[in-house]
Amino acid sequence: MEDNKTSEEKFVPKGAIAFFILFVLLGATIWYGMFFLMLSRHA
Amino acid sequence: MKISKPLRNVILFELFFPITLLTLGIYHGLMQTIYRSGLVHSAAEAHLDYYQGLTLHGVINAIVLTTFFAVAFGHAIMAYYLKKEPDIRFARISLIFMVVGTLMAAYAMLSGKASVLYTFYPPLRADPTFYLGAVFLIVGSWIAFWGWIILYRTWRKEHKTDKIPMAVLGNIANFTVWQICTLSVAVEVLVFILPWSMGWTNTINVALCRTLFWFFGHALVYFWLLPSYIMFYTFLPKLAGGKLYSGNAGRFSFMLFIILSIPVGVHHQFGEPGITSGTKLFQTILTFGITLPSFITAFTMAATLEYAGRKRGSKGLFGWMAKLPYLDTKNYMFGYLICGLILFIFGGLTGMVNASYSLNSMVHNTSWVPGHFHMTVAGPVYLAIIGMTLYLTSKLSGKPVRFPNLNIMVPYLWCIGILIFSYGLMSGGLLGEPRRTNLGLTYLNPASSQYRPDWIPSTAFALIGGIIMTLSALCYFITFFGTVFSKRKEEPILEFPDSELLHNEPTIGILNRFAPWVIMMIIVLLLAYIPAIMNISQYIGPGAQPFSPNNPVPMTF
Amino acid sequence: MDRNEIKVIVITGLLLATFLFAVLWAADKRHIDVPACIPYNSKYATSKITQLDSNTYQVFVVAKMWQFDPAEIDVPVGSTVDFYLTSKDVTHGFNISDKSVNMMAVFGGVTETSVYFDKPGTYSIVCHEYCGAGHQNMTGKVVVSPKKQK
Repeated sequence: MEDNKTSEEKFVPKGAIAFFILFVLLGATIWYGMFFLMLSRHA
Repeated sequence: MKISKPLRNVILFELFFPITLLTLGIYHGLMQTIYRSGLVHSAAEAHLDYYQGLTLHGVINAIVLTTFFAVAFGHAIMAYYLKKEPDIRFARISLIFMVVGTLMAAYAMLSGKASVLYTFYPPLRADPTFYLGAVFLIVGSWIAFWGWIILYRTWRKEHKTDKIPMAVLGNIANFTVWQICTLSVAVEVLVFILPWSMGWTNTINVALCRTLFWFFGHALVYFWLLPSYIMFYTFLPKLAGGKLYSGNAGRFSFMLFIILSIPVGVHHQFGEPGITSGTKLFQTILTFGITLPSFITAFTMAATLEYAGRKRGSKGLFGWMAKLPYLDTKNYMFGYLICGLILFIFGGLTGMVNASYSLNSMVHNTSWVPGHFHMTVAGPVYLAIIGMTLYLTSKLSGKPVRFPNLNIMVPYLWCIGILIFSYGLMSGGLLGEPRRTNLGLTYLNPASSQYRPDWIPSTAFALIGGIIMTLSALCYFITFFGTVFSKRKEEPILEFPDSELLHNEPTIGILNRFAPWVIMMIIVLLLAYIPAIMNISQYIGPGAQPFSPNNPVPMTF
Repeated sequence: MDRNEIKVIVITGLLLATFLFAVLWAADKRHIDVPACIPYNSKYATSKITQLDSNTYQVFVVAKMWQFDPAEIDVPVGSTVDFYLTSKDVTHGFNISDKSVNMMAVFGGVTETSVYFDKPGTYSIVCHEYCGAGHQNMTGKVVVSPKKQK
């Protein structure tokens, strides 16, 4: 029981952090992709 | 938990009724992709005009289904987590109002008297029964909420220092926003549109009505979304075989939704007259604020699922993604929820483009917009609704789910269909393809001078996606109605896959009271909308007469 | 609140800040903004094309069921066109997608935007707000003619 508790508290969500960083990068890619397309249409 | 027969029947009916109407809603979804791809060049097929069908599609799928579900799910959550049923009189009166309202609106739409789309922008005029029907439906949902407030306050007196159960917190936050934002559309309809539609007033201030609608209209999408969020935070961890990474993150997210759901409506009006660029910019910044709870949720769900995956023995940075119960027929809610989350990644991120002030000009009213919102309202919202509808119907009527092998495929087929469909719509939108338009008559008609062959690939993608989505829906209807019309095999029970927290989280006082957040909400609302209303009084001129969709000559009474 | 959740909030805030700055930069340095809001005046309710100088045109566009008035606007390449838009009846859209022009025509209101046409060609104006039975027929165009060869 004690062992279970400490291993739970030691859980570091490395994969989730990596996922979140990729998620933010995807968001930036979509947004800036549209932004530069807008700039190109405005001569 | 045992549930009384009266409440059980209210919930079961509120789940069953909209799914029946959804058959028509899905049918006209498919039809739109057929009209728009140029497969037919026609104004109406099978006695349903394109724009009439589009109105039915929006009202049934986005107003009736979502509102009925929110109320039914709300009854179930409040009863289960507070261990006490809400007053049945409120539940029954609420049900009657909502059904009467829906039938009135359905009559108007089906008889061709309300082809104004679910946004019903004046000065297009629908039959008064359409507007009255909408009022009844919405007031019905208020009445359910009032019953829950009474229940909650009783509970609170007896549990002064306890943590509010997460689902209850989310539900009350959701309906608090709903109660406030619907006041605006109630004013729009009762004060302005209804008298004008009956000929008692001559003209109507179009810009003001649009602004009142969008005060309601953006908060509406969070009203749709929050039940799914409740499921993500309270059920998903358990369904995945893990624990919730942070309960406080969830509570904080729900409280943020209280403050920021409403004062952002102007981001639907960037291209309109009557509101200054300063007001539009201010509401852009507020809209950026409301992306925060969704980013928090994205991380928290990933961390929660990672814990569940590692518990099942996954290794490496992303191994946990593979070790989740995607295809377990006894755990089908996991599939419905995870597909919703996958779609919402793209739905939410594309939404940020729409909200970004001048960037909106790239997408406004193009087919990009339905491309975006089919990955949100037709993503996590739709999947959570139909999944939970099946779940609650099965549990509350004691009828095990029929055709579990069909059922497990529903969300995955849907997810694939939506991705193809939305890809088509968004790429078309960037090429200038308009939304809410029967393209088959002109733009996708080789015999027309307006023919746009460059829109063929995008509309073809939307058609293929639409067909796959319809297949998914067919599988769902077979499962749902198959279950409903099967024999009872178990005792009816109200139960949910309730999750545990991963960490010992202290009760944070500010996240356990609604008052400070509601006060903040009202302050921000006033700051955001008083300028908008003042702008309109300065910049807008005369009001408009009513127009039928079929005639450029204004209607007279 | 969990440390990682705090990091998430900070990273999200930074991302949104970059979006805000990009949009403000575009407005300030490239004059890319939302359509301007003009106080209503009934003069805008009658369509009109006026040449203000050698390369600036002022067009009052009146959107109505189911056409734009004027339906065709002819200008030479290198022109700047100021569009003033209103509606005679229901709400219409006005979308010149290749130039990222996107405005709404609302009865009782006037929106304005300025467009510089640097390349010759025919630019489609599409109505993208549902305006009744003839909505899919509603389209106009800006025809930008190339420089005259001397």
